[in-house]
Amino acid sequence: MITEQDIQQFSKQCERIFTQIRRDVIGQQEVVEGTVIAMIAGGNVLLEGVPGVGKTRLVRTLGRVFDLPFSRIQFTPDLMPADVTGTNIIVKDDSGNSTFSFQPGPIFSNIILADEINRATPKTQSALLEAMQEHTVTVMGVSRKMPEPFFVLATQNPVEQDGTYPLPEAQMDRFMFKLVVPNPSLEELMTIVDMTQQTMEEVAEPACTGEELLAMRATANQIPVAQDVMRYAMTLCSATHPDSECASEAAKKYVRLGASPRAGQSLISAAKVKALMKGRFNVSFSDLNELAYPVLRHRMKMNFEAIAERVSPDEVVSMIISEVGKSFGLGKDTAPLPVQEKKKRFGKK
Amino acid sequence: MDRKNSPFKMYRRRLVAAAAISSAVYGLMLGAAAAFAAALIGWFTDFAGVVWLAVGVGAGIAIVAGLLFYFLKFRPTGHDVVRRIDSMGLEERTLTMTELEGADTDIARLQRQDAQRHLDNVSGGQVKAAFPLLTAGKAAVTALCAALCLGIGMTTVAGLTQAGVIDTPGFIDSEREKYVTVSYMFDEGGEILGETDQILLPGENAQPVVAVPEDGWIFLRWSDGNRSTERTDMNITQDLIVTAIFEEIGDGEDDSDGDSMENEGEEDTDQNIPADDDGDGSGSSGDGGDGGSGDGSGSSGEGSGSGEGGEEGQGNGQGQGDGSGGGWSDNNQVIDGETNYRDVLEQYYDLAMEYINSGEEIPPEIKEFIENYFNSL
Repeated sequence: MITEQDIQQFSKQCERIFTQIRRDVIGQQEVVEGTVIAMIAGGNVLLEGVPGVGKTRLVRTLGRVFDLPFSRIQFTPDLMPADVTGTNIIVKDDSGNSTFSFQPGPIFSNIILADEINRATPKTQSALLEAMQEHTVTVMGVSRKMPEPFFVLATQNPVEQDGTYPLPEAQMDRFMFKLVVPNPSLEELMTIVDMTQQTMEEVAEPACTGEELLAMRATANQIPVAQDVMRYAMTLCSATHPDSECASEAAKKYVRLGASPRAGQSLISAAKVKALMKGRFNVSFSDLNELAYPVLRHRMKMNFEAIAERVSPDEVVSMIISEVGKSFGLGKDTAPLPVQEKKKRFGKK
Repeated sequence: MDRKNSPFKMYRRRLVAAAAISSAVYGLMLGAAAAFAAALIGWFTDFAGVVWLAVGVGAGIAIVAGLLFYFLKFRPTGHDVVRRIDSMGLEERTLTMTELEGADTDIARLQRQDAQRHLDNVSGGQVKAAFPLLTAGKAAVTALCAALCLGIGMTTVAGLTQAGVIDTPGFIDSEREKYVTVSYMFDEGGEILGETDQILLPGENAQPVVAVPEDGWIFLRWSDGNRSTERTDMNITQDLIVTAIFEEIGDGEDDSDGDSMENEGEEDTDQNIPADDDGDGSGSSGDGGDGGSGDGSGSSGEGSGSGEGGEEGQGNGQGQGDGSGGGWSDNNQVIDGETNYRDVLEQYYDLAMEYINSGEEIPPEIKEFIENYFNSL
């Protein structure tokens, strides 16, 4: 059972985590918060951004702040599944007999940085599927459990698409969040350059152990969700399906494939963490609205019309939130677009 | 949640008040519109109690519609109350609190405390903004004002017109004069087949109707003197009301004839029937005929036709024709140039009565003769 002490502990831990991350990562508030929420909720994160915006640095910093073993796998077209999961090798024992011995791959760690994940072949990408969902790896018929907590933080570059392999839907669905890492603002850029001129050394210190992280997750899971709020979350997810009973007009027009039930699970788990981070003991509609973008944007397969009209998944999510919000009697300003989407729109004008 | 001890009692009360006001606005709007319509119709049709009609209809509709709006649309539920409270920036704290009511876990207690703390910090301004008493909206209020103006205005105009303070506008008079009505009514002993109430343009012909007596009754005549069971009024230029009069068979010797005559006389004089003299004169003869042997061959008379005349005709037996009814017109007396109707009518009539009393059908020639006689009047 959750106690008042647990809640206080949770708040203190969050504060410490964010303080330490800010020492190494300048700006990127939404991305940092999203990543931490996903890690506490036990989800994997796909970070998408152009090169040089600090994706890898953020993941490295997180590894250090959470004081957890960290592995980096650079995904390339020639990377093989065994390079990720590990393989059995023949070794000679003391008596000279040859036996198979499992050599664990880099995936056997608590935090995995899958850098440029879309550069590997689908076969290698699929090597992560079991680990991401079941937290086990099966090699030659033997399943091995991953250490807990276990996260995959993957990065991909949306621009250089030559020689890449887009992640299949099944793989995408296993990421709790897809976070879009924007370019830093002018002020942030000045601070970054100023800081790195002095030293490139990363100075963030451990703020939370693996056990503490698991305790935070258990605490967040206790947060109650009102029936209306739960129904709203599930309606948001169902509304992404163009052929569901509560399909939104936006989904009917622009979406070919909607979000899976994992989206609903992710939305609620993440909303509980977010509510507690804000010092609230219940999930609100606003939590869901804010988290709907990172949860849903990569789970919707857009149709040709959306691509032709250059309608982004975030815009579709915004339309869905507005539509569902109205049916739940929520106010007009229920669907604020993420910062980067606002910038994009502003840029278009 | 117990409503009386609910921490949301104040908010519930405000929401109920707002719902009542909204229901009243919409109810009054419909009531005023109904009053306007009633007053307008009453004004056109010159209805006697137009003001009371409009007020009654308006008030009735307003009350019924108001109640329906409240109970079917606006009445707030407990869920509505907490959702509205949460709209004051409480981020679903009260909603969750009500769902966790009775839960004894630490998180439920913490959540309740958190919700109560935020609820205590709500300012009066926030409450007023989130719980406005008038939620109907500008369009609804404007529509209500318009409906009230129209309803009250029209009722006033109709009332003043009725009281004679305001003249009836010419277009309404001309509208009223546009049509004439024809009403065929019937007394005891029969009925009328066909359209009994007809509305026609002046100069039009009415639909044909037939007076059909019940068993044991015979058709006597129409109140305008017409003796034909079937009638088609042509070229109607003014309102017409005629009544079919029937008489019970074998009841001619009592004073029922006299009653009939009284009716005839009243109808005739009231309705301004053409050939008034003829009708009345022959009417007394008819009564005499009904009376069986009571009537004799009355001489012609110029009487204006009244019940008294009829009675007197009976009393005199032979129908001397006292000048006030029961007479004949000369041109009705001759059938074939020499036979006097009156001479043979009595025989035919007696024969017909014998057939009727014995339950047999009247021979066609007798029937035709009697009908011809009456039709010739």
